Amino acid sequence: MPAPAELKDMTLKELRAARKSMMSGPWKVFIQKQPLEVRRDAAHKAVDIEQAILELENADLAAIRDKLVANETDLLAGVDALARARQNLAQVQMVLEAVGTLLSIAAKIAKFVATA
Amino acid sequence: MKAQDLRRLILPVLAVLATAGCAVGDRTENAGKLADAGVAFADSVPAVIDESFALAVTADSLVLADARSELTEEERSQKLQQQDALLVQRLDVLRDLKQHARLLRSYFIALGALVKSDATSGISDATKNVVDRLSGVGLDLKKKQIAGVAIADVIQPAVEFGVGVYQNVALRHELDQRGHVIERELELERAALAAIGDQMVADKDAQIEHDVRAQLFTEYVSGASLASGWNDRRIAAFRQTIELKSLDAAAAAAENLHQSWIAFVENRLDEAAVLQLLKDVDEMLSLADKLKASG
Repeated sequence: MPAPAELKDMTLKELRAARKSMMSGPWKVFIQKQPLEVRRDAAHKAVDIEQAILELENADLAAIRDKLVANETDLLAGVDALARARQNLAQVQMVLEAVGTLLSIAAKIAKFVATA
Repeated sequence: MKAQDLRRLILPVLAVLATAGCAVGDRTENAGKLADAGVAFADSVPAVIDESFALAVTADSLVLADARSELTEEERSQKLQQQDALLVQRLDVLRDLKQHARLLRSYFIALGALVKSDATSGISDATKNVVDRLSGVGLDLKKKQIAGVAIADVIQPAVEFGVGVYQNVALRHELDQRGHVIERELELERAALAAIGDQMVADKDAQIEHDVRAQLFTEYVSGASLASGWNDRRIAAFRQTIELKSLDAAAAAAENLHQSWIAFVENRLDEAAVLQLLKDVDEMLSLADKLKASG
């Protein structure tokens, strides 16, 4: 017994094959020779098949979309955490630059004291 | 401890530091490449999604157009509205998937910004600056040596190593915290693009069947004579069928990105895997470009 997901995949595959077959040359040649009622029935069935394909595909994609949306909070937390880690690195650079500036002031003072 | 003993101790320590530095570099370098591939992947997703919708509408229109002559006006109205409603539903889902791809892109950009941080060179420059300034106030580190090794020569590589270690620790922390979340995320992206790829192949195949193969068939079976170029169109139809496989490129890239992430988290992502990933993402980019051009 196939699992529900397998059953859905198999059904979708069959529906797509049926749609393709109803667009084929052999089908067109065949259906043109049929009485009106048969042609009308075939037209309804072709649209029904297309409708079923869209419904199954939509359900499949919506299920994946819901799971992805459920992941969004964690994903945003990851973006924030990485940005914070990056900021910490930038802060080290700022501290070192400030130390460098301070030291250059100290060097000027030292020269001033030496020549005074 | 004598200077000679100290030197004997320093050399193996420097060797260990150099080796550790390489290991740190490999991990962060791989993270940088993975981040680039992730951004390129996320950038290509919208074009693939847009084309999948265009193909879905085209296949639907062909079915409706074929059925039209056999339906009453009331039936046409009912069926067109019903199909439109389903396509609007599809559009909503696809819009969410595109929006989500932008969030995934932000994650890979943040990852790349951390591991490829220009802070490494910035901090290195700032350290050199501090060493120069210290020389200015009379503490000339350029001339100071410990066990025959100039301090100035050691400080800068040590800071670079420290930054590398920090990046690696931050990366490891992130992977511990969210490695599995991103893994699940990429698995879902793979599933979404596999479903979209299957749909695109089926819709495009139906379109070729309707527009090309059926015409060729009826011309041959019922036509008074065969038009010139019939063989050329027949060859083109076979070629188009073969090209359908290229629509799977997005799913293949998503699968490779997912597997590469798992290998990266487990610290076994090698050069060959990274190259294959970049190749797959490149094929997806080509597909996206091709789809944009045809759209």
